[in-house]
Amino acid sequence: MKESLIDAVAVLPPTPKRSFSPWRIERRPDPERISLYRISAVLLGLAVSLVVAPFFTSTPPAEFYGAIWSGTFGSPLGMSNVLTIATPLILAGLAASIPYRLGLWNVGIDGQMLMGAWTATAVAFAMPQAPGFLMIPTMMIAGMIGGALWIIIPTFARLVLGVSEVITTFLLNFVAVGWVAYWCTGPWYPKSSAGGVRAEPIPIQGEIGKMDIQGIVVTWGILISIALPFVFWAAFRFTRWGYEVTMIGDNHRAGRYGGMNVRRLLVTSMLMGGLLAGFGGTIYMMGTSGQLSTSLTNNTGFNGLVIAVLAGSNELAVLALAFIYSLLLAGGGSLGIVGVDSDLVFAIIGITLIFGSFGEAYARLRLVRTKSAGARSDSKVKEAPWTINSSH
Amino acid sequence: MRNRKIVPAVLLVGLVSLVAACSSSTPAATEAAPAATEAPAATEAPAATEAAAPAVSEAPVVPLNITWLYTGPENDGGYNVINEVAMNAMGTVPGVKVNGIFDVPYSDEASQITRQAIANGAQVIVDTTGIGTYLTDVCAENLDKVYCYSGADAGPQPANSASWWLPDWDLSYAAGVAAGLMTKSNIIGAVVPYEIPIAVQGINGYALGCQSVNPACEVKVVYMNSYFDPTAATKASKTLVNAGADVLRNLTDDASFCKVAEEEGVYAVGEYNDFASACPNSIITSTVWDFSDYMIEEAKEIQAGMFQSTGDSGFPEITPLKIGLGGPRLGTFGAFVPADVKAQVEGIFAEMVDGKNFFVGPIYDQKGKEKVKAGVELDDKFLFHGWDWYVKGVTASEG
Repeated sequence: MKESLIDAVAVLPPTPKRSFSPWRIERRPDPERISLYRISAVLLGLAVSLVVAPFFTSTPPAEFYGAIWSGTFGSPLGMSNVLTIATPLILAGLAASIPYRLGLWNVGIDGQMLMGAWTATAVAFAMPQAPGFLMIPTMMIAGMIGGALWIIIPTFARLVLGVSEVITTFLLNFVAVGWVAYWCTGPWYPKSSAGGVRAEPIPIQGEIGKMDIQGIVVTWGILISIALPFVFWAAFRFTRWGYEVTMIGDNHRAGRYGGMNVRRLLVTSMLMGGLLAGFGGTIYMMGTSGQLSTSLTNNTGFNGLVIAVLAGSNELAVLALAFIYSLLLAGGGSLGIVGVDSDLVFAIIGITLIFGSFGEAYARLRLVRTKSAGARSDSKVKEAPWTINSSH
Repeated sequence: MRNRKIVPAVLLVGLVSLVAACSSSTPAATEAAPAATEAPAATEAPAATEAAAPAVSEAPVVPLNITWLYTGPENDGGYNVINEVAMNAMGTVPGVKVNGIFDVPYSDEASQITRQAIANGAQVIVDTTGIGTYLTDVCAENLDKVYCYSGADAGPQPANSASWWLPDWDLSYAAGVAAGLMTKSNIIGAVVPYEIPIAVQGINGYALGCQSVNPACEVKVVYMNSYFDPTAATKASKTLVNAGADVLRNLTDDASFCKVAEEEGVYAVGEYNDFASACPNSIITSTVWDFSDYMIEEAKEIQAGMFQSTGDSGFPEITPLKIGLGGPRLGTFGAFVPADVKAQVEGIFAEMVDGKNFFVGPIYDQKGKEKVKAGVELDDKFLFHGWDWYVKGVTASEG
């Protein structure tokens, strides 16, 4: 059981030992460029799908591209939407990325975001008269705690019983939706609502203030979201915790041999994921309509997981990819307005992500001719990944 | 430090996108300007017609862009299909152009979509999903640019917004009568999205209608916490059949309930769309939510500058029931339905159209306590949004 404590799933596929074709796949000797390849692949996929997509809709190409342009860079409203979507998406990306460094899959980000937002709402309703400067930080902290609490069961199930966190975190999403649905249709059912399912809005002073930069309206939550990837990027390079997580993510046996407490790191990185997710759900709710609803996150968590996998343990790549992904979502949203089928929008996003995942493999592996002796020799370099990373 | 070189690369990407974002704010401003000048056309135009009306007898065509918001996908087989009928009916009014946006979620994205639609030139927004404040907040930001129709909203409406709905309680009662005349087990079922008053009135109406012709009638309800989830609706329908229900009704959007009825050999009464062609062997009749006449009328009123907000009343404008196409009505009866059953249901519906109130006391709650005294009539406001207890004979459970 102890051995399987952290099985670094899907970190690196084994290098084929012998191939009968003149080509073979091997690890790249230049891992420094990994994130660059990844991001370029996503951009390439975006370009390809955008060139192909207009052939599959009756909307004229000019209107098609016009809608994407005005829904993203082309108008202050478009940029407002992009940044509003990016605010929780960056945090969701981090919430997946940090456990992923240890080979752990946090598939329950949507649930953690909902529970964070639920806890924050509960706190706001408990102190309706409190001034904003008191209510906002309290709600934010409550949101983080709510998100972290929601990942405690999967964390300890993994730690004590070895239950896969993929299953437990994923299934708890449904529990969270059910829990929020109960509160939205029951105790917090708003007097003004009829068909929709959403809670009574939080007191107005609990909403986060909005900035207006040349017509781009966005809450200051975006500043926190942009800052946090840099904070974690630095933490993974300059703190003992970050170093240990990176080290164990690469090779947990070596880490344990070096005297690291793998269990403690597992718990802290999982809790950090839940905390960030809860915070993301909370500031999204506080920055938009101030209402809890079952579809508050609208798959932000799963999108964050995709971003984390494509970004591959680089927080700054998470930031860049989350921004690109927000462009996709906002542009896709405005495509619906000019009559483009929402399925085509999903297809565009899907094609982009498939390119991204090819890029993910391409970033790590390359195709070489076996006849060249030179290519073979440098493939030995990455045999034990942690050896070349010990430059700290 | 394996990613040392990547840092400048990522920063570069970030910088490029930032630069792109900033540089684009100037063309954005110029682009927004024509949009702003275009939009008031809606408000200007009615003024022009008003001025011209006394002089010219034939009103000129007023262009009007109308955007409809839908929950769930296009062709969901039920709710969206019938709402598209009304949308397309609106599109037949001269000068009116309609388009629909699907999969609108109950989150801030609904507001984002609405803002974007207004920026794209929508002068009227019709919400069929019940997004409430996600819509009305945006309407209040755009008082001189847009008119809004907020579906079944009980909240206060800004001056450019109206809430609208239909007497679903009456339709539910009629559905209950149809079910009560056909059931043999005296247990009828309903698959319902959420446990909220707007659904509770539908269940109570269904139960009272059934009990009016079949005093032993019981209603079993399964909630599935979603408006559109065919898998869950199928499961919930099977649960109801296993619990003994031999008539199924949907308050969910799609056709799974009657597909299950076809498979299991039980009956069904449809809500929203006319499900007779989808399930010819099970559908007794359907209660069809046709808003065509109402929406055509509203489009003409806006063109004539006669829009009326429902204000802070907390009560929607109620589309009247109608015998025949164009309004909320009874759908096609199944070929297997006996003539006397059909006649009885149609007779009760005709009385409703004439304005008879079927919600008269005594009405008892689940425990048999008299909640509405004999002779007391329930008013529309209570029926729309106030009913938060079940009548006698209803059993509800989470699906």
